[in-house]
Amino acid sequence: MAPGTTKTATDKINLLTNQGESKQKKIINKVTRTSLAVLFVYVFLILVLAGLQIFVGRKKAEVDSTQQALVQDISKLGKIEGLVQAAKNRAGLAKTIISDSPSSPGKLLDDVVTSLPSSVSATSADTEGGGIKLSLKAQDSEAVTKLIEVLKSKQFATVDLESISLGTSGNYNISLRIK
Amino acid sequence: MKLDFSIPAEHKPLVLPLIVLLVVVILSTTLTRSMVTKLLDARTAINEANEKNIMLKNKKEVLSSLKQNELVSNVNASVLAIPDEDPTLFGSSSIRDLALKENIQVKELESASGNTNQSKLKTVSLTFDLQGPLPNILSFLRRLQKSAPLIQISDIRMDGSNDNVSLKLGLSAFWSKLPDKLPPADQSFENITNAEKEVLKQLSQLEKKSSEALTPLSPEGRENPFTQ
Repeated sequence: MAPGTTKTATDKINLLTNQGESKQKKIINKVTRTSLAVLFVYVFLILVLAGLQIFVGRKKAEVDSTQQALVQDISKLGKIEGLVQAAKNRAGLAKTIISDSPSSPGKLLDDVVTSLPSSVSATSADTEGGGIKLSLKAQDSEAVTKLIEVLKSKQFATVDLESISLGTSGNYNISLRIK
Repeated sequence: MKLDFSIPAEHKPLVLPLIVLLVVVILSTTLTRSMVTKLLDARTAINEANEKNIMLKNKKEVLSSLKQNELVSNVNASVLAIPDEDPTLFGSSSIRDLALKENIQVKELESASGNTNQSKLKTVSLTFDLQGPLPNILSFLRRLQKSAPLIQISDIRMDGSNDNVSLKLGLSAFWSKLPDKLPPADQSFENITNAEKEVLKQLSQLEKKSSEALTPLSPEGRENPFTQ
């Protein structure tokens, strides 16, 4: 075995091994450095997060204390708030009563009776289904004509002439249903 | 047999990166995650608290700007219109007072308690027998609808001639207890709306009884009960 030949072969093998090892070492060093860098960045991020948490916690405490102060101030104005609540309550109830009210029979009676011609007088009135039933006495036929004209001008929803009869004294007895 | 946990020499350089990876993964799933969640929750809570503070600040400003005297007079007028207790006595007295002003004789009075569909609003039915001249009766009816307490005329039965008309009047008067609790101080506040102001104005314009005390009846019969 020629010593030179063997040496050359071994050298080649050794050379390859050294190059591979140094490359591997370099990669390992790079990985180690990168992982340490990642760890540092990560720890830094955690510290930032911790700092933010402290800042946010202080901010929350500040906002909460402002809220408590406002609630205390509002509690001192409780009397005014109570008055507002009472006024709103009564306004709401009154609105319900007013909106539930049908056309008032009192107003209807007032409207009809005050507009009657002087020769016509009301003898009785009775509320009936949101309207009124009215008995009238007219002195003569001219009074009846005037009454019809008045009723036409008043624009009631409905005016039903129930009966009209001539009495023994010459008066006309009229019965009307008005809504 | 003994187990060998020693790390081979060629793998030893990988231990540190692996530990770092492990630490990052463990911290990410535990500490960092909870920190981020807490931070986000705190931010949401601060935003909500800020919004609430703005609402409370507005509430405080509005409440401070309201005039107490004006409110008291509105509430007084509205409580006269819709009393907070059974209005039979007050309503009868007011109607009697109004009838006296119009020279109308009150002949009979009946009352019965009723109720409406709304549980808060209670009704009382009043029936009056009145007698007087027709113009006075009409004027009485007109004023009655513009008087406190707030009433609804449910029934009218009228008979007679111009000078002497008898009137049977069926009325409903209303009452309701005032709110006994204030909403929590940190709850939003609704001020009186314009529509409500309008209703309150109408209520304050209602004609009030000249004296809130009941008018005593004049004594009748024997002045001295110990004499014949």
